[in-house]
Amino acid sequence: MGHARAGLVRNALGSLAIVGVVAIIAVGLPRLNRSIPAGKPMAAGAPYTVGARVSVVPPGGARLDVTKTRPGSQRGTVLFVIGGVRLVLVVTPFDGTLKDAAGRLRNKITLIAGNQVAGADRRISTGQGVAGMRGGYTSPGRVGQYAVFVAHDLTVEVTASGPDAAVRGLLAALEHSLRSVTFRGGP
Amino acid sequence: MTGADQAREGPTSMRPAPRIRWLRARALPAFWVFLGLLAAGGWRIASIARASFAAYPRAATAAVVLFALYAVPVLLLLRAVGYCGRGSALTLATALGWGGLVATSAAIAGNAAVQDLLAKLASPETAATWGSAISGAGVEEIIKVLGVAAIALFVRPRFTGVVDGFVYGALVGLGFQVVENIVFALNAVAVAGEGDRVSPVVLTLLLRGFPGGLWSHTLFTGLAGAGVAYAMTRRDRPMAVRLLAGSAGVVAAAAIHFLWNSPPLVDGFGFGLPGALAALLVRAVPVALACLLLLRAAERRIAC
Repeated sequence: MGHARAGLVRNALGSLAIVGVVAIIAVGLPRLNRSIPAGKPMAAGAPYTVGARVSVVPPGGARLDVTKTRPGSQRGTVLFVIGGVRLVLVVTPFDGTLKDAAGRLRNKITLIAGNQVAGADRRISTGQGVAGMRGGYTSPGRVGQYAVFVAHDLTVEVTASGPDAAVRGLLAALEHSLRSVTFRGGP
Repeated sequence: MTGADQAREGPTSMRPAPRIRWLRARALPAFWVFLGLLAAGGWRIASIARASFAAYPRAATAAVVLFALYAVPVLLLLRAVGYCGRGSALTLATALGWGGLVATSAAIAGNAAVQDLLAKLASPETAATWGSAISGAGVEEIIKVLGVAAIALFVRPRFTGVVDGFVYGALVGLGFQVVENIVFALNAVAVAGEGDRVSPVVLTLLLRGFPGGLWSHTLFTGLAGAGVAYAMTRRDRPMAVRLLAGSAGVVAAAAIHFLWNSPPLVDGFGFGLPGALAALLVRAVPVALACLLLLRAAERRIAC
């Protein structure tokens, strides 16, 4: 009886240890992660390399969210936070046309519940002369702007979203950032 | 089962492991802990699957069917070498369940946290380059091998030795690999932005499923499980030796996983397809050899 009880206690302790380690991984690590701020201030006017040799100058006052930023030699993602506005750039390999790239970005936007593309796309270009398309979208309580560029077998998808007033207040700075998108190696 | 019972039955490693008595297992805390974690992991994975099936019904169905079929050869291989006969189908399914439900759901949270912490404490570049190697070795291997320990706790004393640890570990790894590949395939569908299309799923199968198929999680966790089994079953050896062997199995699995995900091997040393094939050999051969040697040694011991 004593032996059986000791075995039961060992079993319970072993089980508790397993639950403890699972809890550390599934709950403890995310909690520790949340306790450390993700934002890092950006130097005003300095270009930031998103990935695959594509860079952008973020709006003044932008903070880099390092947890949503993953640069790489073939692709890259960056998230800047400016007030309540989130500016995301995603660089990926792409072998289609600008029209294809714009369609793909619109699909991604509208697949998110509540998002609705507003109006038709318009043509834009970067300061470097790379052609792109841009448009707008809405979701409950938020508005967004999107743009897409294609060059060097890459596509750069840009989305900026936030409360209506915050996005409107940032339109000029966002325009400046769009024009600052640079493909190293020319248009 | 008491020590006297064991003494009457003789060394359990000399005979095939008998089937588990589930009614007896129900009396153990480990059984209920396992069940609770399985339910929590299942709920988490089901919520991810529900969202994927709502957004991409065809692609999600294709991913589940393709990667489930892809698991069949590994199961047949284990059966062919006779190891799956060591446990009931239900016990073997619990190992798959731990890998596919508990380990994947915990690893999704743990991996993201580790990679975010790397980005915060080092840099986003470090996280992008080394994140998957570090979290794969540090998070995934630990959470997977816990499944072997948990199963051993409620199937003991039917958990008889290193081969059991290897088989349960391999099944945990297989469950993990199948669900992880499905999640990767559905992420690829979302990133492609082309709607509910099957082509990103097929591409994921070709790029992730086949090159890493038989060699990765299944064997990593098999190796770690064998170490844990040694520590838990070799009571004839000194505790220090058992702990050392158990740790060595887990550390070896983590080290191989780290190497597997390390940037030079992932990038094929920068030499395109030939480099990728060379990297595949560099990654696959040592782990396969280690596992074969381990199983041969275990078989010899059983035969003695």
